[in-house]
Amino acid sequence: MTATSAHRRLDDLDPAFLRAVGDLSLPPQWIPPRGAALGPHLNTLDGDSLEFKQHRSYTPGDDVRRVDWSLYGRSKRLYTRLVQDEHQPRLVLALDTSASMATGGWNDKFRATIELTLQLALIGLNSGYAVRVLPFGESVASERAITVIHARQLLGSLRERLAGLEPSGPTNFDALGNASLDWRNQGALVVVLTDLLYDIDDDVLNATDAVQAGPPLPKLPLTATERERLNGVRQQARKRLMLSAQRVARSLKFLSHPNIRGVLCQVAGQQDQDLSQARQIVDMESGVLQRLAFTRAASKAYTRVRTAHTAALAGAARALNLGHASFDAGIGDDHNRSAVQAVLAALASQGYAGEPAQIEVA
Amino acid sequence: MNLFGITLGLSFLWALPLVLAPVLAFLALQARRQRLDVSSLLLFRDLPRRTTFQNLSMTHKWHRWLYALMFALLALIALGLSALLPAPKRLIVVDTSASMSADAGGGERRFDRAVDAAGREIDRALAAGASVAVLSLTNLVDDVPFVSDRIEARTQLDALRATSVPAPMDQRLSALAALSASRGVGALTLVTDRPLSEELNAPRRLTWIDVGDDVAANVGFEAVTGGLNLFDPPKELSLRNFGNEPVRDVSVTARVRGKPAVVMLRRPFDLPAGARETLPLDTVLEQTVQLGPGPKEIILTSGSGDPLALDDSLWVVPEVVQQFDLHIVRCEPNGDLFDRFLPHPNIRLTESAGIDLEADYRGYDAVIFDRCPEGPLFEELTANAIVIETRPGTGRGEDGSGARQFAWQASENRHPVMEGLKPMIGRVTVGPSLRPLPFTDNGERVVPLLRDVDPQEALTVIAEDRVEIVSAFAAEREEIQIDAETRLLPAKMLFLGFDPHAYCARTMPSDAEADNTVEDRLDARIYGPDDCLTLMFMLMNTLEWMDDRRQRVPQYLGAGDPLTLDGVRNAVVRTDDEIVPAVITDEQGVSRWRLDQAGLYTLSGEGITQTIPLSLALFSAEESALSRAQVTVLPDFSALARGDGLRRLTRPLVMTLLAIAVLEALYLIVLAGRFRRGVSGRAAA
Repeated sequence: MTATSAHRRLDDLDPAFLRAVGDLSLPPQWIPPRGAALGPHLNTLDGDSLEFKQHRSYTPGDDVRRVDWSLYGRSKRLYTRLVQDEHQPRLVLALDTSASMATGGWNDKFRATIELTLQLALIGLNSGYAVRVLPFGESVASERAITVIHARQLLGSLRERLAGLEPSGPTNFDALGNASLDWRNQGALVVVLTDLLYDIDDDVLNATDAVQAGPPLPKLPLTATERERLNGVRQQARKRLMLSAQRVARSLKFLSHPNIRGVLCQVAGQQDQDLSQARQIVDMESGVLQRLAFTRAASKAYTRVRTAHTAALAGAARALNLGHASFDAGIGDDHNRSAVQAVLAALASQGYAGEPAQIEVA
Repeated sequence: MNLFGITLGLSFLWALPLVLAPVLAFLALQARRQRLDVSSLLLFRDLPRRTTFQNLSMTHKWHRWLYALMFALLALIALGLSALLPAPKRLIVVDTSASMSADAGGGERRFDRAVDAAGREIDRALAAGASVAVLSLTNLVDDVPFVSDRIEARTQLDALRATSVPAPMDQRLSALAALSASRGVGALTLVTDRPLSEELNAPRRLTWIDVGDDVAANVGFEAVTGGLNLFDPPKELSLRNFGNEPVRDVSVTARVRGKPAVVMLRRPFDLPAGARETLPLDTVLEQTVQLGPGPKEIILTSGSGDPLALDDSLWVVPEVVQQFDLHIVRCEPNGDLFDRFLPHPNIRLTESAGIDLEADYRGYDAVIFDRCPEGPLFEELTANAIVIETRPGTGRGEDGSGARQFAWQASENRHPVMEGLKPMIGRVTVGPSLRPLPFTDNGERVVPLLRDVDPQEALTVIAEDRVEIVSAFAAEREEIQIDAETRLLPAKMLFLGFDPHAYCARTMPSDAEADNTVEDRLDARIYGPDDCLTLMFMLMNTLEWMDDRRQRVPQYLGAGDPLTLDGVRNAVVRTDDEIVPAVITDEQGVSRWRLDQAGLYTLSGEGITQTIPLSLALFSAEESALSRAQVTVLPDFSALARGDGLRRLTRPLVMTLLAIAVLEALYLIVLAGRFRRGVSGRAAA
């Protein structure tokens, strides 16, 4: 597909989409908590603005450039001039561009995810955040990151850049972790928009020893409902879903940082839900093919497995102290407003947005 | 079509789509279930996997109804719908050929015996609840109704008469098989005067009644073996002693029908009981040419001088009715083609060696310029001319050898000369001597000139209208006034851009022997007797065309061709014993007939000076290709035309379909079992 036609993909984007969420906002002026663990970086972070905060007696080690010489002239005592820290909170929208996001074609899941991204970006801008959209797949290329400063960009350059994205390759959450140093230092709200599918081979599933030989997998705290949903599927499926969620939790562990508030937004396309006509199914990322007969029984079983998968991922998010929201493309005609609200709720509660029921640890 | 011994006629074709329907529906359902890209196999790994019949699972209710309906239809087919179908059809065919008129002993003709036997068969069939139709073997028409009433059946039988018409048994049997298949006949009975030969390809479920089995010396023509197709042996007439005693001094003679003169085709010989004697067909044809014009018949005579059988014995030889002056300008020897019809009682022949440019050929009815280096141009003709060109000039190699392609499509040409002749295409050698067809170079394909012409090829070549292709054409010129003193009389010309003798020659000039061996001559792929006949017919047609005094009556027709006598009013066409009714007669009294049966007919009427024998070709259009046939484009002409290829295909196909139907029925049983389990499971819950 030529670049021109690729960029036309989002031309029909309805601004009503953005207007529908224009009144929503992010938690106001969330500032990453500071602490000793942050070390020397904080001193340099502090006091870059021009707005005066207070004076403090000079102590050796302070930057001599910050000494208030006019005050010294009057008082002959050394004071360090402290200014207000001009901290602009940051919203990182990590957009999964792996091949699996293109199930059902560009216009199914991927487009819906991009629209959600644009909406979140608008809310971030309205709430005074510096918005950064970071497409990631197998790796994270910093040059692909898009910084959004003005709302005009949403329907301009940002839309154009997003329309040019072609989902391909596998998902690599570890790569996202490598790129997270920046956010850890400066603090950020991170929304990971992905399908959060992490395949577990039959070999891995059966060789429990091999799994345990690696780094320990995090335990997943699950609510009673989630546990019930997980128990609703066959034992083999349950085990696979748990392993998968634990793998996701391990890979996304970098998000459980005091400076980061994160939300895992699990995206599902229409085609991921309607499989009644499928005769063969193909994993987009690995190319593995499986023949299935989608009888009614199989369709039911599949729906149960999906619910259980969401439950397990919610547990994984809770283990990382992240928010979790699920987003179904094409569901509802409220321009994603409910989906956006779910993401915001998950962000605000800094944890699982579902029922705060009794939580057990798997 | 035969399957498990059951004859399936064309009327059963309706059943095939029904058998196919479940398969097609299944494929359609399969096709609807598309391959689907998914995000991850994670969620599918532990779902039920595909098992052998799982793909047949029906997710929707209407699928189930559809399958149930189709299985019900299959079951109906399997039951044969026996209650609903009409009574089984039985076709009783009585041999009415010439041999049936012969004595069967006891003062009875064989035909009388045959009628008795057929009457008994009718009674037996009607008693068994079948409907019958009675047909004549020599006239296998398609419109005789099947009746269940004895009187009507007897009427059909009584309408039959022994004729003097031949009935080559193999040809008739194949026609019979085709007829019975097309009419959905369940069983066939043939009443004839000879035993069933093991070499004949008889249709299945044929009851063969031999009324001549007690005739001691029953010599008759058995079949015309061989064929015209690639690798077939040359055609032969096979005659055989069907009786149980040897016959001494059998002689084979030929004569023009109704004329006393005979020519002996084979010296007297003894024929033991059951023994067979063969005569090469082309030799027979060559010898009968000597008899002059008229349809020929072949007579078998025993030592006592009694004609034994008159079967399969009518041959067509072109004829020139009135005196005809023909001059041949021979520029090269070995004009073998001319020897086939010359000397001719009505053709007065003169010859000259080499062309004389000053000669004036006015006064001749026709002049043949036989392979002369500079034959006259059409504009220079002073008389009707047949110009045979051997050196067409361009296209020849440096050494004088080489080949040019030659094409003529008789059916398309429509000129009277070529009408009724088979299309030709191929390469022609050009050179001083006869040469075999050239071998291919540059990946080209050599198409033998006459044998087994692929109609597609012929059409393609003709459509291209290429200048390097040697043509054969006929042209006619009105009188031309060149100047005040000179004027050219009307003239007709046949131009042959190749050497037609090559197709009739069995000997070669010595200078050509090196590259045209005896094996080449005998190679059926290159030369065949029918090719020679075609060319001979064409020359004869041309002579008739050039003979203005000749009565314009078409005398050589393919079987089934319509016969119209233009300019002849109130014409009557009759056989020996009956008048053939015309299909259409218009206001001017011009009639049109359709003569389906090969045989001898006579014409009379206003405008016809004498009674004219009219021969229908012995060979059917299908068998001979000598008569005009529609050019049909087929992918594999040789295989499909004979039906063998088709049979090879259909049988496995039908078997496969049946196997699928059985599997589906089995699955239905499995499905019913599941359904019942499901119902009982729900009931238990």
